[in-house]
Amino acid sequence: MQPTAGPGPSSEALAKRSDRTELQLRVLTCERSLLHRADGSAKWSQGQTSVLAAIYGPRLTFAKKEHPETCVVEVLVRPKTRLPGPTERQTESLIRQCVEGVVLTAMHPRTAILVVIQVVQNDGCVMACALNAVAAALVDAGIPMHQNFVSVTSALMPGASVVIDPDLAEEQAAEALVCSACTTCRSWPEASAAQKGPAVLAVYTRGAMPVEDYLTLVELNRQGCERVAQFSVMAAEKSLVGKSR
Amino acid sequence: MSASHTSAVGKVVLPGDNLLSLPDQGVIRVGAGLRQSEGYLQSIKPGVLKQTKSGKYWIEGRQKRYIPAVDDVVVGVVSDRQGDNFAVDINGPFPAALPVLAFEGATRRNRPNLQEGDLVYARVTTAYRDADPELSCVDASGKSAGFGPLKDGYLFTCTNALCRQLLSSPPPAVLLALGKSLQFEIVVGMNGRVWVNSPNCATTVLVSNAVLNSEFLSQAQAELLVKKLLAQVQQTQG
Repeated sequence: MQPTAGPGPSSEALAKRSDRTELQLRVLTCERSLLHRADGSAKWSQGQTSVLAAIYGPRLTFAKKEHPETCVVEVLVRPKTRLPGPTERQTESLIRQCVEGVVLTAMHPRTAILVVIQVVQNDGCVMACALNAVAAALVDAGIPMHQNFVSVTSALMPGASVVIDPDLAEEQAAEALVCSACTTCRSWPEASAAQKGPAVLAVYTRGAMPVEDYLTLVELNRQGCERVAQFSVMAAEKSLVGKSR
Repeated sequence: MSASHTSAVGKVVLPGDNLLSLPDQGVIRVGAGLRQSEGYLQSIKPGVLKQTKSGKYWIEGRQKRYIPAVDDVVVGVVSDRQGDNFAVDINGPFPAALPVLAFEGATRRNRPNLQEGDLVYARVTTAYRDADPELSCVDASGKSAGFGPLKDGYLFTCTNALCRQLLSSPPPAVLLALGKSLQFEIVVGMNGRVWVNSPNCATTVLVSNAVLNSEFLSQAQAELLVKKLLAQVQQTQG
């Protein structure tokens, strides 16, 4: 039986995982350079959730918006249906802060980078999926960055159990959600001393939870991010190695 | 210094990778896509890490947006005329300025007659991040050296990785194969624009298609592609 999206916190019964364990991520897929006119683009999917991100820039912007010393980051989030609302504004602001945190904005003063995100399919974890799509699109566009990031969501379910990468039904049944973005750091053997674990770049929470549970979820996300980072590196290498001889 | 100083040379690196710890003594020459960060050499762009025999490192990536660099050759589109400058779109963050006197034989009296939408082949003379880049259609001795307005022909865009391939020496297999049996002119700009001209349209279309499709082909594959395209054209004409 395929669980369907429940009406809210009452749909506890539907929130039982059938196809994977509580600490298992869904299947990740990443496609790059699919948009012809954007400078960089990527489609990131986690199970049924799928988000398309496009990067335009660095390019000229309106004199009103430009900054004399840095590159301005603009983010637009488009939901699958309807017009963007306050939820999208909030996602935009989180993504903008993450992008500004990793891009070397001083390299291209007086310009703007436009990030457009289109939700293709929503089956939970849209924010994490959007962040991953943006990170992949930034690499595709060749924007100068001093770090990259990945993102994972985990949820506190009724009965104090935790699940990672919840789908829509689980997300609606959850008491609280924590979505965090972690920086990734890769070091080659010649610089192995610089190796650091993932550091938290941004955290978004929804719902109320005790502090201990919050810390558990953040730690769970950190571990999940390590796994997502492995995939993201593999996907990026694949897209670059086949193309440069 | 040995060529394989670091194990990352020749591998795909991603932005933020720490590539090697900088030695206490000696000089490391660093090119595009790299920077120094807390005693390490760090990549800031995705691509393949390359090293010259003299030990200079750089990253060879692929991107669509052009970031101007001094001495690059570019194909630009004239977008405006402002006093003593032409504003030229070179696919970068800012429009470039091409002085009207930066043409061979140009004087205050004898100005080049360029209209909006005309193509020019030029080199970048200044490229600062804070200022608009400047172009020139003459070399240091004031000769045109092949630069100047491009008349007629067909323009298409590609990634900077393909442009580098086309500009490399020896020339890529696809151009050699095309040159053996066809007569055409080709101009490649580092800004991802390629201009092709030939006596008839069929040749222009054939050359542009062959070049665009050759990006990921080996030498033998490129030669086969040209052979097939030529056979197709001959069939339709004959």
